Amino acid sequence: MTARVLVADDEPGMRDTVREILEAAGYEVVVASDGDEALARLGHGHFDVVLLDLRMPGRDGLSVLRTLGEARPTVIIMTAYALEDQLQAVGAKAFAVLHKPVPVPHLLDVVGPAAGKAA
Amino acid sequence: MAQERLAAIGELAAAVGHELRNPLGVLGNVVYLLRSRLGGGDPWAAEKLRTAERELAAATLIVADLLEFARPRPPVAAPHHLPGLVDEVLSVAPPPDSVRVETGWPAELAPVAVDRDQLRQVLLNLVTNAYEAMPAGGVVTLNAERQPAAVRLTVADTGAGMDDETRRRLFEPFYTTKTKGIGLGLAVARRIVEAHGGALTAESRPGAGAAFTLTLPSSPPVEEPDR
Repeated sequence: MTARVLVADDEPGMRDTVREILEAAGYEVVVASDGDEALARLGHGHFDVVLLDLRMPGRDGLSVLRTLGEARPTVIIMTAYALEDQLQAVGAKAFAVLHKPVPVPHLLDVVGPAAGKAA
Repeated sequence: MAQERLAAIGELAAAVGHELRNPLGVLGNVVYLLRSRLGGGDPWAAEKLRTAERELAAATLIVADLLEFARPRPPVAAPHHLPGLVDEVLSVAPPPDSVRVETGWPAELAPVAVDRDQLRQVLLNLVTNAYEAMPAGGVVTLNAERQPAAVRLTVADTGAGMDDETRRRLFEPFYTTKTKGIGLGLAVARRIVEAHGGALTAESRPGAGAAFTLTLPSSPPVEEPDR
């Protein structure tokens, strides 16, 4: 079965290119432009993996991660900011923390096992 | 006062660096998508895309070096295989047409415990320095060897080599002999490697190329070392 991935990023260029890359790799992708939209999408469908940008207007990625609780999909944090964000995210049990700019082979290397873990 | 100004400039540079990470990421994604659509059948497009990838890697490296210098980050290490990381670096920063890359990996090379982003930054610095040391073309050789409890990687070029002063000052921040670049790459690379419990050294003579040797502690084997 095709893995479903939610990509939540407020930057349209990032969101749309990541969506296209993951779709070309065989994933079914849904996008959200902020944390509230991400939570709304997550409330109305099953997702195997969520790619969450940390800094978004309104509800940010870590807030989304905390709201989701234990029965959440596998979460991968993407951030342009380093240490303090990373430690918080690891503490909140994200599957991985990726530092932007993320080379595409690295992104696919991490999303694959994350989708496998969720299956 | 001078110290405060320097700190303020560092903060500003770090803030600008952070802001550039998103657009650099988007550009990298766009080049990847263009390559998947155009790169295979059209040699002209493939060559332009390689140039775009190299320049993007150079810009990304400047930002990464600046941020690592301004706000050093302790490594978050996990087991990784060096050949996979080197392949990734060569795909992100492909060699110019006049440069050939040769690699030599021993069988059953142990994984190393490294922060993947930071080691990629070190390897990008070494590989792009080697390209730039050979403007008229040449060969970059990457050879790994097993050591007791460590892995040693040598990155060698066939460029013009270095004089004594350059070799002595090579790892000083802001020291550079290049017409472009800010002179932070090797200083940051050595700091990252040492933060991993490893070592980075250089050997060179005028006219005889340069060889950088990276030694990293090996990691106990695990089931899936490359995630």
